[in-house]
Amino acid sequence: MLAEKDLTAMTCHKSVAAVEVSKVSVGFRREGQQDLLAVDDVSLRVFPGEFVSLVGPSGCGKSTLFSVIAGLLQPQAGQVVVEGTDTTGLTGGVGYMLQKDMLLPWRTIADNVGLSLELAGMKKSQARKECMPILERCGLGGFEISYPSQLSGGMRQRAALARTLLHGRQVVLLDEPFGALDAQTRSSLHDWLEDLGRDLGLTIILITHDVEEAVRLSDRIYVMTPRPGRIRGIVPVELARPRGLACVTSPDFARAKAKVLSLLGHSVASPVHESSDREMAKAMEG
Amino acid sequence: MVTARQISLAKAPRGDGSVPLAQIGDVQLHRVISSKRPSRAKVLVVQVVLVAAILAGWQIAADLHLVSALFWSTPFRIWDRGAQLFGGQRLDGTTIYSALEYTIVAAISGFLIGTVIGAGVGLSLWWSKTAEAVVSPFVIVFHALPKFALAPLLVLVMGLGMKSEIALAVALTVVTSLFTAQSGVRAVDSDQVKLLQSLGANRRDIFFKIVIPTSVPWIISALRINIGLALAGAIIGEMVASNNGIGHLIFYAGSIYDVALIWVGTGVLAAVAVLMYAGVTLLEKKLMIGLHVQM
Repeated sequence: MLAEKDLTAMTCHKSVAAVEVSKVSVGFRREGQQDLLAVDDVSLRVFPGEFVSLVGPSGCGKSTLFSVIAGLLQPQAGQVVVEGTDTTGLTGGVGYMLQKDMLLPWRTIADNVGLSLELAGMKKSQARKECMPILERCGLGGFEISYPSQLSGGMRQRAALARTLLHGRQVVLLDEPFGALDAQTRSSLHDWLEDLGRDLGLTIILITHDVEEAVRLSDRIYVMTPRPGRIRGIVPVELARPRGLACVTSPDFARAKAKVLSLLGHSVASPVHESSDREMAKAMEG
Repeated sequence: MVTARQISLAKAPRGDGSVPLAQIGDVQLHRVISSKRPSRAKVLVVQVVLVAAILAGWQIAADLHLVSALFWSTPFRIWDRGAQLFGGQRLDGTTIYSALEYTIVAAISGFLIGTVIGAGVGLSLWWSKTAEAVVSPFVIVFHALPKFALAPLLVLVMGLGMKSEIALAVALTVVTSLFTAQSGVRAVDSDQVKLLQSLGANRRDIFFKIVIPTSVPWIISALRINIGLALAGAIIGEMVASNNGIGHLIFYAGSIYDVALIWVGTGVLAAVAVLMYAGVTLLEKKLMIGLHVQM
């Protein structure tokens, strides 16, 4: 396990962090009950071009943390700085994508993907033209006048990502984007996302339940504790890129995976040293 | 192992699920699910026969003085009365055609005005939770009130004629569309709102790009209810507050003991109601397909 300081030292070759979350805490007021502390004193620092994952048991406040980073939620304490600007409580600084594709069913794919342009005041017809290159890049060429209901789950997720990317933010938050997809589709989207992120120089923060997915994609994995969510540990993944499916069988992959699992394993009552997928699943449920 | 040769299809009488349809070794297979639907022609024949039987029974009973023709009239008399009216006979200053037009115009005007106002108010309450909280109890009271009680007041304020009739139709329809629009607003997906906000949307964008498209199917789904209510409003309005229209015709027929005319008016009204309902159903389907939504 690495402390935050060591890690900063390790990656300090880039001076300005793409995202800097410092000492963020979020609580929810509950009627008739004690207030709920969802996120407790979380700090993270992500540098431009990095791919970082957040893993942790359900309800540990990962999504709440994302809402804070996206500016949709005002934290009780702490600060969010995106590319050098304090964006605490301000929306629009980062791209944001959820597990549900959230495509509007009454809009065509092109009109969904071009939403951010329209919101910025561009005419619909112009926005349609502008979103063509990204549609092509996401393998959705020829589907621009289809409706979301006519697309497969994997295509819809790609359309959702295209919409996020067209928003033009360097920092992209992905909240379990592949969670609802089958294993094969997910695996092909992993390759695709890795390429895309590198080509566009994106800084990506991913929330996932799938430890293999986190290891496969990330430069660094933050493991969170059960509620209230804190950072339990940080696991760097030093696998060469592009990784491809083959990396899954390498010893480095296994080592990183074991590390993450053991960090997660500690979240259950009895301390576990040798973690397995089954224990991981238990930790998730708890 | 069961081989294909062992599967022997047995001929079974249709519709009788208890006789095995096939056999695999010693296992007999039965059909539990009935695949047969009644044929349309069969249903239609039964329906026609049913109506004919009722009319014939009515006519015979009246001829045999088992049923009072004075109070109930007879199918033949009703037919003759209808023929006279549709032949252009003037009644209390109008013809059946102008009465029909009058009623249809009143019902459709009331339907459109009520739906638009109700939907508009229901949608606009999205903007302010305070306004919604303030208005809600009044809406509920108005919803619970039997709107026909307003008829005398409307006549005094708006006078005899189409205006008060339309007002009554509006009073009946406005609450339904207000409620459904509100339900639509409540069905807005908060994650969709979140996502749009993250793309830089303001409240106005959210209203026009999410709240309205989400609510429109709800509003449309209330149209069929509203067309019936609007027609009811128009008819009652005509009985109380007008001297034209089908409602007035029926009311007038009652006051001069012209029972056949009551039946003709009622029959015409039923036809109008069915046509309007069918029209709105068609409109609803077209709109839903155009909007790419499934309810």
